[in-house]
Amino acid sequence: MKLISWIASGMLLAVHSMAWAENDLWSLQSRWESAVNAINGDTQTLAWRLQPSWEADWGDDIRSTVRGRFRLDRFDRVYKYSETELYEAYLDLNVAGQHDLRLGKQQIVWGQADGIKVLDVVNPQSYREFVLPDYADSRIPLWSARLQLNLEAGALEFVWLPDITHHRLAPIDSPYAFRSPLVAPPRPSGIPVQFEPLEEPDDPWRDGDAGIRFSALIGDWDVAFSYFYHYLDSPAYRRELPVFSDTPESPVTVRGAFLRDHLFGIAASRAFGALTLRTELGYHDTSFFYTRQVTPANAGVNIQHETAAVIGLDWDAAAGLWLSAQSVVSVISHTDEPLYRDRIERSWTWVTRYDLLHDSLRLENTVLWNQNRKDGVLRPGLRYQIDDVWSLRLGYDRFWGNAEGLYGEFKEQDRWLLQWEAEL
Amino acid sequence: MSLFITKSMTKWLRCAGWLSLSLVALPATLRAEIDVQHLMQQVDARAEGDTFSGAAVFRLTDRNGGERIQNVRLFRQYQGDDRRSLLFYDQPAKVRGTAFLTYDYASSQEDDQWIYLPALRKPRRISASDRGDYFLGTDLTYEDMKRPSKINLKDWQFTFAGEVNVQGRTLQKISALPASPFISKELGYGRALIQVDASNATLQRIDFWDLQDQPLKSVEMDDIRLVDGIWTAHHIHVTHHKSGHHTDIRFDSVAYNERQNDQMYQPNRLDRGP
Repeated sequence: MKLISWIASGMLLAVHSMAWAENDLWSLQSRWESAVNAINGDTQTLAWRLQPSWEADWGDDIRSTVRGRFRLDRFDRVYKYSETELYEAYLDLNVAGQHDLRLGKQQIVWGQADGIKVLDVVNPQSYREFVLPDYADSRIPLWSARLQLNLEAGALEFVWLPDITHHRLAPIDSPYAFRSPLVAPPRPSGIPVQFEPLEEPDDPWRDGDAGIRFSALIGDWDVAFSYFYHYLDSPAYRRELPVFSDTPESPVTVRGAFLRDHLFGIAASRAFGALTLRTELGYHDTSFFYTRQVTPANAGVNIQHETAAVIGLDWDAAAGLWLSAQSVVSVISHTDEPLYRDRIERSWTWVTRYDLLHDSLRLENTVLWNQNRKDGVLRPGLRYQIDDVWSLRLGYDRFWGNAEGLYGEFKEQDRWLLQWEAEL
Repeated sequence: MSLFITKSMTKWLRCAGWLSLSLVALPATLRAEIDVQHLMQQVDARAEGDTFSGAAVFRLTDRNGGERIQNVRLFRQYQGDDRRSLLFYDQPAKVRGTAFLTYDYASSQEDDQWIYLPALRKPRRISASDRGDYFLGTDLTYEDMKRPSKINLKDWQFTFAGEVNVQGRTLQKISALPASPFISKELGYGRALIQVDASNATLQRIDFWDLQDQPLKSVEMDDIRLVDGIWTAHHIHVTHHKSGHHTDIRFDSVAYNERQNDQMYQPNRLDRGP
């Protein structure tokens, strides 16, 4: 896939280097950010990121967008302190006067929920800093094709993603490494462990993801129906017990493999006066969860059907004041296996946002909370747009709750964040 | 027969005479009020074109002189009596790609609105903004932005307030009161004083007062030129008296009645730009 990336990037850059773009526009974003652990004062991040972008029109029907990204981080353990990548690179083509085709490395976002991954699973995510960065920054663009047929009745969209990149997780020794048994299999104590090489999809043709979505304005409702055939972006790690478990030297063999899933989704939204209702429903044919007891039969993994629903309500409460609440429910079919998760999991998100000084100052607070484990994260912050170029962001992230939970596991990682950004 | 005609005519002429005398004797204010209604209807009926496209530079200045400049592209299309309008931000880089789509229905149905934020990478349904809310950091409200350089006749009651000479032109001064306390609260305006150029039925200036009758803001429109046969203000300057904030809008590349792609006004195409 790297080869495809470099070839495609080279082609796009070559095209760009030709001086026949009708309109082109350069922009440059420079961001300096520092995050400090609020409990022990350790520096979590001391990073500088440079993101040049170039958009160009090639006549009425073709437009290209290229974004690069260069990042230096004194404390980065993923990329050994520096990272250079072609972040996004795609061509927008107008087909037959009314249809749209986007080809290249891009982000495809489905669903109506904010920050909740029910239908927004087309692209994988970088969890280097858990869910703390903006999703647009941490979503991993993939080489893909997206054709949108704009029909009288609505838009019919086809996506094909031969790029089989999956989630990027924080390394085990970094502050935001997953340790919760909800997503990382617990290591058996007292037994040696042998890791087998991860079985990864490797054939873009055979292993690529594909999906279809129809969206339309029906009455006053924005409605979308979708189907996505994909590999789950996290591998399921099976823990195979030794055949002769009474032999202390016999290790547990851990085999990681990615599972295929059929995801059926419906999303809808509508405004009622000052309120906007957003909903989405997803049915996963295949989801997996780790079991509390590892047996030869289950190898520590339980495969289930999962249905997840989100109901969100946004309220334009007053001039500049915006409130949003989302309720998320995930239900799996009945199982006798003792799982780390409950059969019904409930989570909530609350956002309070206040824009003032002609939208140049934003005060914001976000709360993410899991009702089952009573863990969550509180994220107050402010963003100040100093002028057209410079902006400042100050934030605080406070985790709490059960250490088995996705948020509670990071309760030693509360942090202060300071971000300076310039965009030209 | 001829006698009958003569008698009828005489009666008619007598009535007409009384009517003429009555008109002459009518208070000047009442005559003016009839003219004011007519004039404001002319302003309202001024052609807008089936489609509109243009570019604009928004210069927002705060009381300390801090300045933000935004370059946008604007599109509007009528579908029957319903109006669809689109705004795309080009500059600054921070907001580039942000798009704002409104379906404004002629019926009493609430507006439908969507916003596309590049940070979200998807269009988002938003509630129809209150008419008196300020539009994206400017000093114009959503209601002002719907039909810049026009004023909704249903919202106001007009009375003649005299004439004023501005740079050699005689403008009509019209005093406007919200049609009801509810509308007044909804718009955030207690009253307004409008200056109209009767020669081309264009608004030249509107001074607004708030609900406590304090000066709120002044909107000035100039550089008014004919484009494709339609009088168009190419410069709007708003001074917000309370905050000391200014919004200066200059329009460019204005065109009317050009063929537009209907698909551009679909929410799920907002990420593609114009």
